[in-house]
Amino acid sequence: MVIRLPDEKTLITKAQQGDKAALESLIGRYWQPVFRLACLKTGNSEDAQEITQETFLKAFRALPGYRDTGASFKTYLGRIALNLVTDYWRKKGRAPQVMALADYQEPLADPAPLPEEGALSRERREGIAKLVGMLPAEQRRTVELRIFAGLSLQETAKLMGKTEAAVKMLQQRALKNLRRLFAEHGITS
Amino acid sequence: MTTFSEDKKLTELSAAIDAVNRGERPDSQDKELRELAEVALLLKRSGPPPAAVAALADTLSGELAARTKRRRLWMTSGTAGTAAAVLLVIALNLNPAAPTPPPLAIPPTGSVVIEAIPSQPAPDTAQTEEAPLAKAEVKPQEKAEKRATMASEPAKAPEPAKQPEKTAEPAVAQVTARETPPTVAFLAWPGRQPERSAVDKSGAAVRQVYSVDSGEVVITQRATSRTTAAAVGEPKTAAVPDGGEPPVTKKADTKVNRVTATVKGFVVTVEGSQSEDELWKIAQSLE
Repeated sequence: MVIRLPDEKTLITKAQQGDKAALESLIGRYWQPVFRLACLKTGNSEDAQEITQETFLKAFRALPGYRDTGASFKTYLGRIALNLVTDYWRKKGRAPQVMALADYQEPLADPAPLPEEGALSRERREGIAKLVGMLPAEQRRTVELRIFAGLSLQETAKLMGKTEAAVKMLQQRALKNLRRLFAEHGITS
Repeated sequence: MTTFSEDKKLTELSAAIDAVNRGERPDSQDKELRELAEVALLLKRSGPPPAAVAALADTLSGELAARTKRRRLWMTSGTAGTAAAVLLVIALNLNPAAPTPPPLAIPPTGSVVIEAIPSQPAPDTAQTEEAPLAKAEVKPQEKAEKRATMASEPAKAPEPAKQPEKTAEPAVAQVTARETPPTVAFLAWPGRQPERSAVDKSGAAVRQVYSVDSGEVVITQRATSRTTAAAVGEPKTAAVPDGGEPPVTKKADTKVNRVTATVKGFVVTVEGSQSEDELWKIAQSLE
């Protein structure tokens, strides 16, 4: 069964009025592409996490004035994220990366549709997040970049400063550890 | 060091993760690989950290709701203020204590049709030339009402003429459309009803035509005041107290006699076929 999410315009209208469920839905829908972009531009999953949160804060705080001017909400979010990445590099005293024009036109990749079963319950999601946090740092980062952010093997290797073979090994170890932890905590697919 | 089969498994697992990222369900014959791919799928479906998302949504929900509330409050206040202003304007317009234009003072008896006297246009007032002549019907009122209006007449008299009068004729030509139309108040011949009456469009001069046995008596009145009298110098028309003996300007005519006198603040010209004495008496009898 595929869970159909409400229409995006409806969600935005509700979110403008402070509807929490609509806000959660929009954040959940666009978290991964924003996080992915931030990871790619910063190379640091922790900083990317902060930029992702800040992107949503900025975007939704400006949401009452957001008008559908032809740009999609995804593009709107992506531009905010790119501006935050630029600020991030300036704060670090480094020249911001040169952004390609295409980055500004369509900065976010479309979120991949969830394969069958749709979203998990909040309890299960919280349990999974907790178990991921128990992984060794490199394995956790590999999971964040490869699976949560959806980066390619090559991109992940580049960001982590490792070879693709090393990343393959890290992701296998991470998934084996998580399979064990899921079994111990009764989390099954 | 990894063996060939291990390296193949790592590559297949990586391909399975790519499939999950594309939204596909990985399919593999290898049991371990299938289980690891299921773990990856579970991770993917778990989405972003729920605690972080919930915290974000909480923060934003509070801010946006408060902002929406403030905006609504502001709009409500604005609407209420506008409504109050509209109501105030309506209330002021409906207030009976608000000043209203004074009523017209009208001829003493009978219903008369008042026609406009063709005024001579002021030389520098094109507006007077183009203004249409007024025509109105005025209904009679009580005599006392007329007297009350007459008592306040000096304040309503037209503004002084800028040039001295050259004749004793009523200075109808001095009245321009720019002046505020004064209240129509004039004297009447007691016991008689004018056959017709005409009023200057500014209301400063009135002409009444009475029909008598010997013909017609035309009484022309022009409101005046001390200021007006001083301005015009009154070379030919002297104002006299009520009931006093006024200096009279007489104009001899073979057919029509004319007498001009100032009576009760009005410059009155009486014309008719009667003798000047009779005309003078008529002028003095005006009330």
